[in-house]
Amino acid sequence: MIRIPDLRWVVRYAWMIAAPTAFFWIAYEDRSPSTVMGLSAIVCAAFAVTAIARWRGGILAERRRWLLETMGVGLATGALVAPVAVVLILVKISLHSHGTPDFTTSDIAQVMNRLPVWALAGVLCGEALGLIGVAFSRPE
Amino acid sequence: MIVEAAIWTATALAAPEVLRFVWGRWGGAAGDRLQPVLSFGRWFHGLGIPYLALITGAVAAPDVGLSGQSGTEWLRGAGICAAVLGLAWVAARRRRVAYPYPGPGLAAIDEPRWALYRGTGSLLADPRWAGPFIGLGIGVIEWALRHPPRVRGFRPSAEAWPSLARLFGSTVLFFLTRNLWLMVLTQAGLSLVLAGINREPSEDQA
Repeated sequence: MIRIPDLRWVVRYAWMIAAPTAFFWIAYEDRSPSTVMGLSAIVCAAFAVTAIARWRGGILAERRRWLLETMGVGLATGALVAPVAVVLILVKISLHSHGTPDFTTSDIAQVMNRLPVWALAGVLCGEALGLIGVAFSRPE
Repeated sequence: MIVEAAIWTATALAAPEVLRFVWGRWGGAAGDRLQPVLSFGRWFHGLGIPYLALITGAVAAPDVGLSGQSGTEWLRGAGICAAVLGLAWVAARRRRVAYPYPGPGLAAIDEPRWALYRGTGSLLADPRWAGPFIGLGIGVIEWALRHPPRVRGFRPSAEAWPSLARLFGSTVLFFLTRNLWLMVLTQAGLSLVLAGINREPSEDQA
């Protein structure tokens, strides 16, 4: 059994990065699908870290179960990156209201096509986070 | 377009008064259970109504300052807003603000509604010059409705003046920057600056 570290400070830093980035991206004229994917990944990661800190921070857990949980959270987070990016795109289009929308339907399709790659990336990041958690945890 | 904008503006102006009337009748009986509804209503009044006006095409995004700024305009606007915040910090350190000031969230959500008024004003007259000032006029009507005159003569309470000053300041700043995003940040920043200074011990106390 290991004691998972308290992750509240990680949550604070995650949102200190994610919230201003999202605010400025929505405000600024940017039409690159890659940027919105990156932003979506940051926002989803902030939500994932918040969830892990909320339900697992500071508690006793079995090592293998902890690693499986972080992989699962990573998979779910990675799979959500593309749909959240589409939501961000729709919010930006609705707010900017240009005659020609900031993103086309082919941009949205291009974003959704990246879903499997981001799901895989999410699993790997979740596993990495789990291993970092194990490295910083106290065996009990 | 102008009819839709007028309807949304009238809704934003009338909604708090209608809610206050309904709240006055039901609020006492329902107690704390209706508090989340009141909180949601406040956010919907600030954000929801302007957003609906925007996505239904009643007001144009460039007129309300949501889009159309180049990188240079962003930088110039950010510089102006930073200067205003710096001046506010210096002025507030010299003389404390004695009146209650809204928190950053509540201060920021006034901006989208005021932007709706400016957008409506821009449909009535030249968007560049007259729009923001017609919006200011509509904002003053909203302020007068929220702070009704006392028994005789128009004499609002002392706590009412900071909200009018915020509205005037916001109009001038919008006139210079044309950027709603920076206005939202400036309102929230101003609230944080004033809260931070009011927490510090004054020079007399130190």
